[in-house]
Amino acid sequence: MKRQIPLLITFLSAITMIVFYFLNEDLTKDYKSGIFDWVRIIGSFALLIGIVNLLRVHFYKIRRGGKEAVYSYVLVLSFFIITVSGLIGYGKRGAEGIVGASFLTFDWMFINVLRPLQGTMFSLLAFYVASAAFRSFRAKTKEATFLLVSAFIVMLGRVPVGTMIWDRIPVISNWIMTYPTAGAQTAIMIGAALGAVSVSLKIIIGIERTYLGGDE
Amino acid sequence: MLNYLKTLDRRIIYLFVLVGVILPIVGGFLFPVQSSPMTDSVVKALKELEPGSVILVSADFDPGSQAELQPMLLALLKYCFENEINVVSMGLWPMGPTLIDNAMDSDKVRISKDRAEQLMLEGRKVYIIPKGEAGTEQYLEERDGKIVVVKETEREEVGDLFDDAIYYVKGIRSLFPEGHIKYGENYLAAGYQVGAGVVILDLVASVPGALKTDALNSKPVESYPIMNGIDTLKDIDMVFTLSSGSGGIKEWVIYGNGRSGVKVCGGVTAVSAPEFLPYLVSRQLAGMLAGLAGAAEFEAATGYEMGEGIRGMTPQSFAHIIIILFIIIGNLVFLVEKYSENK
Repeated sequence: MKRQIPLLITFLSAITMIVFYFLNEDLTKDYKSGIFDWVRIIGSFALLIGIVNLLRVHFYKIRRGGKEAVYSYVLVLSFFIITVSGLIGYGKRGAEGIVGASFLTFDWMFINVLRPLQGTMFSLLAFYVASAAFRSFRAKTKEATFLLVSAFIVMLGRVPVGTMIWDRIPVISNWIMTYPTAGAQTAIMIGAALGAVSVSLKIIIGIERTYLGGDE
Repeated sequence: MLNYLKTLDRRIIYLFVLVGVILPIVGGFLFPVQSSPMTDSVVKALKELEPGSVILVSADFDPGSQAELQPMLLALLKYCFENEINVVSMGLWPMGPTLIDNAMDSDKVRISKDRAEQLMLEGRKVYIIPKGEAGTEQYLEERDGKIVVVKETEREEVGDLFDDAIYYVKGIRSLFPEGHIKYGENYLAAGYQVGAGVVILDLVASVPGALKTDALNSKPVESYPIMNGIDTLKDIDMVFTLSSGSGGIKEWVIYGNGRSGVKVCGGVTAVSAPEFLPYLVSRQLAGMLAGLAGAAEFEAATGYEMGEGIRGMTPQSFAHIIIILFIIIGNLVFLVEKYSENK
């Protein structure tokens, strides 16, 4: 029963949604709205489960101690500070926007801590890309050479300096993006969609059960 | 030499990229930006909107992608409010709506000296960073016809505005006169909507039913005048998504455009842009801004010459050239080595 009930719920939910997709919107509007509310409520709980799990893992790391426990302290502390400030401080707003975001309010931390930190993390990518490209982007074969030349053209075509070098570079870059890239991407998308249909069917009829957890 | 280049320390490459990015920022020089067909399609779609139209702006990203997407958001909001296009905002990512709030009220929006003077005369708070003086926040005040720079509690009278200073206001809202952007009439914040694709399907069925309440007053969205005549997603004139991953542009095209036919435009990170090109070619996507270059092109096309995107193009140009040069060096080393082996 532990497995049969979730399988039955999956099957019935999927069949209902597939049938609703082909029915007139007016006929199914109210039912759909109810189902969508369910999904969104379950989604909210998934967020809650994620938070609980994250905290559990880091409390365990703190208990275990060691050199890396300091990161867990930072995470847990930051989590509670930002949650509490969000609950009590978020809302100093009026119709004209934020009114006086001061130190330790959610807005202050979001603007001055979270945004610079996350922006910095993402910007490190430029350094890694430069290093990885230098080490591994080699014209070893004819295909790799084509890829390399296309990459140069697109990279130059997407910045103003490309136009300064030769005004046709952006035109060629757009052609590469619109035809070969979009064509190849369409093929990938069709392949992925067929794969998704196949996996979905397996899940609906209960062949694929890994989402239930366990060994099956 | 060959061996040195073969085993080049990655920190040297990092240093080159760092210098290549910092120098143009410090130098402050700008490259002219030309538009691309991708950006032209966004501008064309926006220009088709009549004053009083309603656009749903969905911030489906987090601060990790702000370098590319926040300039687009600022330029888009500026364009909408300048052209009397009403904005309903929401986000499929938890931090998205806060980024829209920041764009409206607290992000630095750089302006020219003339605009600074004009806004100051209108009574708006204009901030200033005099050349070589970053640090403490300073703003301008007009007292008895004289311009005063206020730095913490000190007030210094200056004759005229400096030519070489940086001027900015906080948030797009500060660019407009008091009452130009009325909450509920010209702008409505619906906040974070959990559920990604499901939210969009819900919007297709009923916009008030999906959004339920606004984020500011927790009142039913249908109680605001901006929602008059809006029942389903089809009644929205355009959806503009700023997207950096799953729960974003793809879902808006598949479920939003696919089910209701609503016009969808988007701004995406440069790295993910090729993934959405097929939607652009098939016209399921009315237009797309790709990366910081897309933001810069959009700023240039909508007359926002002081935008972050345009200023970001110079360091990006240098970074691209440095990466290309390193790839060329890497390949030269590889070819010389191969030639020596064959010999």
